[in-house]
Amino acid sequence: MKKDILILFGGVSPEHEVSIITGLQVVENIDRELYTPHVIYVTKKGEFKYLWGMNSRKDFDENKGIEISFGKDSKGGYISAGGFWKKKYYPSAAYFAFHGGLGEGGQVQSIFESLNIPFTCTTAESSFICMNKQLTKDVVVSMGVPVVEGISVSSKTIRESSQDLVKQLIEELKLPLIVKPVHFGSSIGISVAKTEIELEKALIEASHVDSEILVEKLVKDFKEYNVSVRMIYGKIETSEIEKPMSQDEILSFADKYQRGGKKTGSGMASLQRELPAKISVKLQDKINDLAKRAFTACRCKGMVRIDFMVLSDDQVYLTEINPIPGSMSFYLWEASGITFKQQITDLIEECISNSPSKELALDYKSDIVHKFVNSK
Amino acid sequence: MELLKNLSKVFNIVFPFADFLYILQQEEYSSDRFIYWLRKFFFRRNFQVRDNLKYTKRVKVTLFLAVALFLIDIVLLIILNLLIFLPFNFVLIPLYVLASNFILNYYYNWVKSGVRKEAAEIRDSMKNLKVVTVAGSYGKTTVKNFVHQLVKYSYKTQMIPGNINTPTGIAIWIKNNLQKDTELLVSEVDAYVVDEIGKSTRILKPDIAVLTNIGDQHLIRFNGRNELAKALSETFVYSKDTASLISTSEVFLELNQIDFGNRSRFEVTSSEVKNDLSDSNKTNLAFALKVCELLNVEQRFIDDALSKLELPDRRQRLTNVLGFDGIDDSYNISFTTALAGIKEARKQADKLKKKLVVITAGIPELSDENQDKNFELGKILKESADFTVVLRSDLSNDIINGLKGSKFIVMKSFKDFLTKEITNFERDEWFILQQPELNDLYY
Repeated sequence: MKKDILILFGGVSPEHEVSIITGLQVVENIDRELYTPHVIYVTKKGEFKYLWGMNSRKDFDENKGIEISFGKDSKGGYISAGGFWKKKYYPSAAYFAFHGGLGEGGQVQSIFESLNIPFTCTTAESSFICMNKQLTKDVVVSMGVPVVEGISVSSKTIRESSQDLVKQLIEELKLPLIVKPVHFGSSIGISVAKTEIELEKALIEASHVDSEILVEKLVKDFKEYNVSVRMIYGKIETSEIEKPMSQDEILSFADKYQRGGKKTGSGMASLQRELPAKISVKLQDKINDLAKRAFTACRCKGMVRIDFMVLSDDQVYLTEINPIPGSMSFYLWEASGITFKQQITDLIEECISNSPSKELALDYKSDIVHKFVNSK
Repeated sequence: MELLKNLSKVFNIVFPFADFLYILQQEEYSSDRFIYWLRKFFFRRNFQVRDNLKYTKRVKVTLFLAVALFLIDIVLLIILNLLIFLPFNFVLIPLYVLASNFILNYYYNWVKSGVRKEAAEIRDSMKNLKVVTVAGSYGKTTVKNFVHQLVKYSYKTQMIPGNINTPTGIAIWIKNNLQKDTELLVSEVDAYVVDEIGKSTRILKPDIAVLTNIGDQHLIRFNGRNELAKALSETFVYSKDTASLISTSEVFLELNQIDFGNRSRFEVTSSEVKNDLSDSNKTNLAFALKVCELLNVEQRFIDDALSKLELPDRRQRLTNVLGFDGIDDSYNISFTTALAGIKEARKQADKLKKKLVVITAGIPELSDENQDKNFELGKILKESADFTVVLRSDLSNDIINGLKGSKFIVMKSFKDFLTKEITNFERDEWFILQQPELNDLYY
């Protein structure tokens, strides 16, 4: 019997459109012999809509969708869709294709954990860590993964005393510097500052979009390498390593999603890249080792993509962890011999087999409520 | 394919609903403007050449009602045994379209009023939000962009983008895009009729209102300059009681009969600005700098922004036009902006040691007060351009009369020029100034 699988994408996020592309790629590639997909699109306003009859990307544009609600009863977690004749679905699992915002940041994951609906991406706890660049650095450093020197500042501090802050940052880190909103991926809001005024402007701009900003020494003449890591049936695996090609100093949103995407409409998959990357075995082993250590340190499950900056075979720095990578990094796994369809299946089966048992719910017996209610 | 095209043309001759809906759409569903064009187009068919009707929701609804009225009339003719008059029904299709629009305008005006009310409530709920509005016959978009570039590091700023400057457009933008923590909103406001700027200003309630100039654009819609001045002054009249009003001495003089209460007035001139911008853009920058002064923008941010100031697209900006060095002025046109564009293009062409070719279809919407402006445009082009390409619009005869004695050609359309003549101009030799082609209503 086919399993009901929710596929969720969209959301309140600057990467909303990117998420739609990833989600539609999953819709097109999920194995319909094994699964019945139920597509849920989260609008830019945060409304959850059930999209009927979604078989391919062409079904998306005109599909208005209907509102859904979530709940849990004795049978388990469910979604309820369908207007007057509300239809309930008790999904076996949910495939998350969110990018950025609450969908990747752990908040939607928390809801699904409460509903006991297994999901393919990493846990809420891990998502909170990975979607905060500073937290990620703090955690991975404890497992011996090198990161670039930097300081995190709050937006409040920037708005209150940007000039003093700039002087302090320049004194401690020295120009040039790179400014990154801590909670955003896809190179959104990232600026390079070579002068004092550029740094101040970059901090102010970043403070408008995020509550915490990371300022790091700008590393020059580095090469970027990405690798995907997944845990399937208890085994941590790494994919082939890619080297993305950038036209800008830092890989920008335009590089990732618009230069290639405009021609092929394929999102991250169409970025120009060297895959597999032409690197030494020593470097390959080092990147894989660091990636696995970071995966473990951040309590990850499912599949993530980890980005590195490399200066030499011995100087490798972790840049960020993407809990739900663009296009699900299917191209990295295809280069490793695993088709997108198989990857989707692996992740679904993995999350189902690892979901907490309902019977394990602890039962706290206490009479404090009774005492309280009857106290007056 | 050819047969289908011809059949479609024949169908349109008999049932010209699409043609007349096209006029309505071009004139933003104004029944008055539709009636104005009926004089020229009543018996014409198949005039959608440069553009086509877009089947928006509103067009579909208007079409549905117009067809319904048409059919009801036919039924009445049958009932009254007056079928001999049936051919007139087909000729009178423009009037069914007009009637449909007239009826639906009541509904759409009611809907728009609701949207404006919601937007005003959103703005009112944001007590710490400051608003800057920019009105005027020309220069609005440039001033708005300059202000944004200068202030955005001192305030969390949003700028209403593009050419969204009507009351409904502004209201919809506010509902969908205004963020709760925005500190400064910059918007331009425009009008085709009296009280349109008033409606926009009553939503926005600006703390700073800029009026760039009272020019000569769309004069025919306002029945003259006095009405235009009154319409533009609404940006001052409906601003906050404590608002700061910024304009030139000429404008304040022209508006001296209007009571602006206790609002503070600030005059600017282009001489306040030292820059290599054109004269009109120096004045635009002066407006923006006065806004910065009133908002206490830090000097270091002003200096940094001035060092890399950018003009908005298609605003006398040197760019690539059809593969040539040129200025793309095809956005909109009045006599004043046409002159400014020609002056700037001549200057740039001379700098690059190139000859200047100007492509023009003329200046539309002239009133009795300035109906000689196309003739004057021709005379100015005769002095300033090395060659002129005149697109054969209804306005071209006046331009040609002004151009007599100089080098020019007349082309049926811009597309015609591109396919037949552009290869006669060498890229290394010529600098292009492109003015608007104008829509089908002017041909």
